[in-house]
This record gives sequence, C-alpha cells and structure tokens, in this order.
Amino acid sequence: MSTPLLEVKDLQKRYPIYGPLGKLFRPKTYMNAVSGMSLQLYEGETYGLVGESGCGKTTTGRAILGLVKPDGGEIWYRGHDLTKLSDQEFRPLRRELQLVFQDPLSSLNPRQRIGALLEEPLIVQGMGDAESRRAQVMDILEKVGLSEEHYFRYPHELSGGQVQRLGIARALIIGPRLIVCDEPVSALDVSIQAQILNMLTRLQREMNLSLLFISHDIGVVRYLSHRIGVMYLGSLVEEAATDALFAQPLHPYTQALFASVPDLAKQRRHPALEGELPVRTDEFQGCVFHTRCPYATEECRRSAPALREVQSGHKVACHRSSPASGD
Amino acid sequence: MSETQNQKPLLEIQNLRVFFRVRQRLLPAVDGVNLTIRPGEIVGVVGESGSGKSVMSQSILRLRDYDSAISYQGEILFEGQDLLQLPLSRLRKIRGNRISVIFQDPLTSLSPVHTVERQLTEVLLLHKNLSKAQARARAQELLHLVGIPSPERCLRQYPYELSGGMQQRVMIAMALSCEPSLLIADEPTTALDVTIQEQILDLIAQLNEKLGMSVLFITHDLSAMAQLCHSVRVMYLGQIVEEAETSALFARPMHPYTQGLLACIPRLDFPRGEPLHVIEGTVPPLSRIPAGCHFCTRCPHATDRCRTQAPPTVEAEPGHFVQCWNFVSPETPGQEVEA
Repeated sequence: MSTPLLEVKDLQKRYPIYGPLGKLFRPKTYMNAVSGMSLQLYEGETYGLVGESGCGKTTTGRAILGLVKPDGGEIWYRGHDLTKLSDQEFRPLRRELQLVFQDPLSSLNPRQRIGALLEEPLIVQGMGDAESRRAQVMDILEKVGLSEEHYFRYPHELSGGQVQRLGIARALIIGPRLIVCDEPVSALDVSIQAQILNMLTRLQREMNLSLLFISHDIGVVRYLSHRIGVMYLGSLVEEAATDALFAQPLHPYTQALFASVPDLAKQRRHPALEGELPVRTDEFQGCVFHTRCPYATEECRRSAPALREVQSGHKVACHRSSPASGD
Repeated sequence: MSETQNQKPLLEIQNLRVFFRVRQRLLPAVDGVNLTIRPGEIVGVVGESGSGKSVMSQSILRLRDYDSAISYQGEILFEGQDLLQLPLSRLRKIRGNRISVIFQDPLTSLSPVHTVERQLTEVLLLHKNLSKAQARARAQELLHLVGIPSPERCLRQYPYELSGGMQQRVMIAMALSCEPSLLIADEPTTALDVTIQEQILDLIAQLNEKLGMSVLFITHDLSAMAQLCHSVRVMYLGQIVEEAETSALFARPMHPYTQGLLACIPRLDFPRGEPLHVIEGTVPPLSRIPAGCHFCTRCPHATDRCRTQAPPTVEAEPGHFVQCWNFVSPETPGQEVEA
C-alpha cells in the first residue's frame, strides 16, 4: 500500500490519580487512557475505531487533532509530527483536519445564526471575501441537506438530525482531507441515523475524504468502514479489513463484543462477558484483557502480547493466536 | 405464554390521553393508548424520541403530577383501581412498593450525597416496617441478587464511586426491594456499553422468571427489545401503531413505520456499500400532528384517505394488531417496503 495519510505511532496519554488530599501531594499512580496505540489511515479510507466507553478511542481522536496533548508517541500527517507542533504551527493544518462531535449543539454558539456559524471557520482561515464566503455557505447547506432558509435561523431551532448535519457542514466547509467523527450518530434515532450515514458515505466519495470513525455501535462501524481497529483499555487488540474481521474475529474480546451485539434474529442467551473494565494504572500487568478473558493463562497475566500480523492486514494482540495457525 | 393469556390483567391502560397545555392549546403527547400487561409478562414499547413512550410510562405512576400543564383522560387500572383517580396519599403506597421504575440515567436518579445503604434501606423502612438491621441485611441480599460482587462494600459507597453498570444494578436493586408486581424500565440500558447492556437485560429476564414480576420495557432499541420482550407495541406520535408477539412482529412487520424502522438499522448482515433504507423526514412536533393517520407525512404508501381519515386498528392475524389503511397482509411474510 501507499504511504498513509496519517500515522499514529505508539501514542501515550496518562492522567494522574491523586490520593485523598488531592493535588497537595504527588499523584499516587497514573491511569493510562491510551498506551502504545498505533494506527495508519490512508487517503480516501474510512477507519472505524470501536470499543466500549473508557477504552481511549475518543482520547486518540482528540490527540490527532491536537485537542489533547499526548505524553508520548508520534502522530505523522503529511511530513509533520503533529505532537511537536506549536499551536501557531498547527493552525494551517486545522484546515485539513476536522472534527465532528457527538453532541454538536453544545459545540455551537447558541447566539450565532447558522450562516455566521458556518462562515466563521472561513474567516479564521482567511479564505475568500464576504461574497464568495456566502456562496460557499449556501453551497454547503445544500450539500448536507439543509436549505437556504436555514441561513438566518439559530441552532436551537433545528431538530437533532439537522443539528448533526450542521455540525458536519461546519467541519466540511473549509475543505478538509481528514475528519475525525466522534460518535456522530449515537445520539440520534435510528431513522435519522440512517439519513446521516447515507449522507456521510456520499460526501466521502464526492470529496475524497479520509474518515476516522469512532463509535461503540458495531453495526454502524461495520457498515461504514473499510478497516476496523478494536480498542480495549487504551490500545488496539485487533485490526483488520472489515470483511476479514467479521469473517474471522481472532481476539477473544472482539469475539465477545460481536456476540454481545443484540440482533433481531437472535434469542436470548448468556452474556458473552462477565465483569467490567478495570483501570489500567502503571501497576497493571499482562494482557489488557486478562481480567475478563475466558482463556486467560498464567502467561497472559504476566506479559502483554504485542500486536502481530497473523494474516495479511489482520493484526491481533493475543498470546493464543500463533501466526501459523491463525487462531 | 398460553397460561398467562387467560389470567386477569395486572395493568390495563384504557384509551389513555395525556395532554400538555402549551400557549392555550392542548397538545396530545399520548393520544388514545390501550395497553394490557398480564402477570409475569414482559411488554416492550418501542418508539423514537417524541413518540410519547416515556410520557405514557410516567403517567402510570403520575410522575409528572408536579407539572400543572398536564392533564389526563382515560383509565389506568392497576389490580382493578384507577390510578388516575387515586388520591396522592394512596398512590404513594403503590409507588416503589407495588410498581417501581428504573430510569435511563441512574446517576441522576440516585442521590449523590447519600451512601447506597442509606438509599436502599429508605424504601424498605418506608414500605416494609423493618428494623434498621433487618433493612440492611435485606439491602445486602438485594445487591447480591442483582449481581454486585461485594455487596458489603457497595453499601458503604457513594453512587459516583460505582461504574455505570453497577449504578444501574443498584437502581434495579432499589426497584426490586419491595418485590413489586410491575417494574417499569424506561430505557434502562441506553447509556450502557453493549457487553454491560447484555448483562443487565439478562438480569431483568432472570428476575422476571424467578420472581414472576411483570415488566414494562420502554426503549428505542429494537434489537434489545427482540431479546427481552414477550410482546411488543410500536408507538408513533402518541399512538400505538402496531402490536404483536415479539417473534410475529419481527417476522411479519405490517405497519409501514415498523417496516421502515427495521430496515434502517445497519445490521451485521446488511450488504456494505448499499445505501441504508431511510424513513424520510422527521417526527413532526405535537403542534403540527397531521390530520388522518399520524404517519402519513412520512409514509411511502400514503394515499388521500390516509391524509384525511384516521385508520382503525385491525387484527391482521390472531394477536397481531395494526393501525393502518393499507398494511401489507400476512400472506407476504417479511416483505420489505418497496422503494
């Protein structure tokens, strides 16, 4: 394959855990929100990042956009290491890297009209004059399925689906190459969700966008993504092309996650996983999944397995999978 | 379920209408709902935001009575007495005792400044006349029942110290403490991850089997509903548009809305790359409910009759009711909506 548009290498982000007296003393230990996370995103590709809450998928997305300062690792985007850039150096790249939020309403100024909201990124980036900016705003409104009559409206007048369209329009208006979509459809009803998903796929084709699509909804991620990374407790446990991953999930966590997806056709059976996510402090040892894994051995409790390629493009971090057998 | 079929209903909602007064107009959030729950039955109500499913479930215990803009019509019969006519003092004897509720967001329903023990024993002391020590022992038992690994420790904790799944378990324990005959679960798993959601659904199903408690399960998630419920009602704009046993509804959805809902979920066997089916438009606001069939503005099959006359509820096959003028007949099983 060609060189990736974006490459995340061994990303680290940790948050301090303080004792009972708070910040008066040094932190007791650290919680590793993201640890040793690596991924590549190619031009025009949709990469789906799935995992449960607290697995570090949002932190990863925010680190790529410079919204979270990582504690280690590199993020390469077209010859720049984003982690080394100052805010000023980052600004021109912001034009190419955009974010769509789960709850766009809270990220939009409630006192600005929609036209002004959409024009703002263009002004910040110093693009065009007033007239051409207005034309661009009209153009993007139509592209995302809103209409000219929304130009003078306020965000609160829109329905949930329309607000998400506005959030997407705001990310798209300055012509980005890469968009991080952080749970963009999780707050929407299914009938609206389908409308937004169809629109995203259409716009991606038309504008040749690369998407990092973060979601906990496996059905949505499968529908949209070319490749999928499964995250657990701060790092990838498995990564593969979508069809390969669903044909043969190798990691026990991926298997359990797929089995947990409720399906209309399935009858009720026993839960695939017991227990909940532990906290990955500095003292945490072994495979990230060993506390809930039904196959955990002494080795899993002691040493963390590396992410290895077991089949072409199919990587898994598990002691059980040997490159030869593929299981 | 044949033996429950003949039993006397536990809860019977008859022609319920709930209005909100907004700017001198009465807006019907619930518009003529009939619903029956038998002892031991799990009934699911599914619908999108604004369908009135939560208002309907909250009306059972009149949880919105503080809101002076609300008014009710119809009857909600619980073991023969009409809850809508009951004085508040007698309703309080039922709330949390015979009928209890769990909500979507456990953290906002639990008190942040009291320990789990204090909150759990409160219900028991109020309704059951237990001593403090007895109540504590019972609380521990309940936490064990809902699958909390160390109940002793959990009792001493504050809600914020627990994870989302554990908080929801505490809520369920609280709801179960007086062995209610009806549990109203309003989107209990929406805020939870799939692996935790599965555990909670499994817990509700087990408790239903063990304690014979009826459940009214409100959700927007059709697949969660498929796993848990015996029978399902589909709500749209304050009305029940389809009613059937779970397997019948998913095998032969008849209302265009139900068909649309089922088709727009990106299921794991959906061919990738093909556009998803969508239901065009959005749910209209209560102030602009269309005349005739409520769904006519978004329905692909709507005719002039649909726009002017409200459709009757028909029994399309035994136990399968649908409110539509041109529903797809059961002779064509599982048929998708034509484009």
